[in-house]
Amino acid sequence: MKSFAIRRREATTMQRDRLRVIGFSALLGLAFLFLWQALTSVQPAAGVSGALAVGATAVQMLAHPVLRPRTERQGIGLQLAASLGRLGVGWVVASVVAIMGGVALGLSPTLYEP
Amino acid sequence: MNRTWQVLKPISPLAWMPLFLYTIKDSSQSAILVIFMSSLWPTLANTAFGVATIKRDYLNVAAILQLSWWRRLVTVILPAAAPAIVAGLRISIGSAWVAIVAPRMLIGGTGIGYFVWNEWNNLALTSVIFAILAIGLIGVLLDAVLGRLSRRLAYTE
Repeated sequence: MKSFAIRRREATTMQRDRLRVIGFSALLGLAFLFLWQALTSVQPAAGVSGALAVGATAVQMLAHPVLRPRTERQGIGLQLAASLGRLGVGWVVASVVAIMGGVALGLSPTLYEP
Repeated sequence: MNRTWQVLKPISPLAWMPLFLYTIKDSSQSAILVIFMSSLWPTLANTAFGVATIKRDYLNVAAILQLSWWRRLVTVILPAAAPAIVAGLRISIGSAWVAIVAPRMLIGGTGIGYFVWNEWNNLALTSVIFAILAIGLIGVLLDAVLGRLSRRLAYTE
């Protein structure tokens, strides 16, 4: 049985590790965004959009997820939902078939040779 | 896994597309079948491996207890192979999400693949980049859900 003090020390160590991971991830993400924006503003002729422009588009897209203003086209939310729906149907049916087939294969020494 | 089954695994799910389009003549059902093909093999291979490597003791105990095949499946085989099965499901949903963009680029309609291609045709590169980021983010979320499930089903012998 671990003493209360040891357990508390372990908990704080875990918390510190977690904070460190989150901190490093945020730092790397920020560095990537900064580099992206810097490179695209130095070399705009290459035609790749910068981080700020993509951010502005993201805000605008997320504000109208169902129907995009003026264009009357379907928004990003609807498109993603359509894709996720298809993924769900295909994946669930495939998983059921694959698990049944896999159990049959795994139990049969003639069909399954490791 | 037996060689005969291995032949089907490396085929790109998109390669099936013309065959599906010809036989079922419905583009949206063909797209679902492409997802089906792309998520079938990892789960199949992992489940077969998980079931084949179950400890013999478990199966022997089930045989001694004279369990019916259904109870043997539900109470012994599936729980024992669960970690391997979920590992397969996790790989499957990843490869299915990878495969979901391409069919819609080919056949249009609604879907994120169509969105990406449509925005490319409009030369709206910011939208394309945003969609790429959104696809990546959703892939990470799907993986995280199954990762949580796999931690719950893990066991030590």
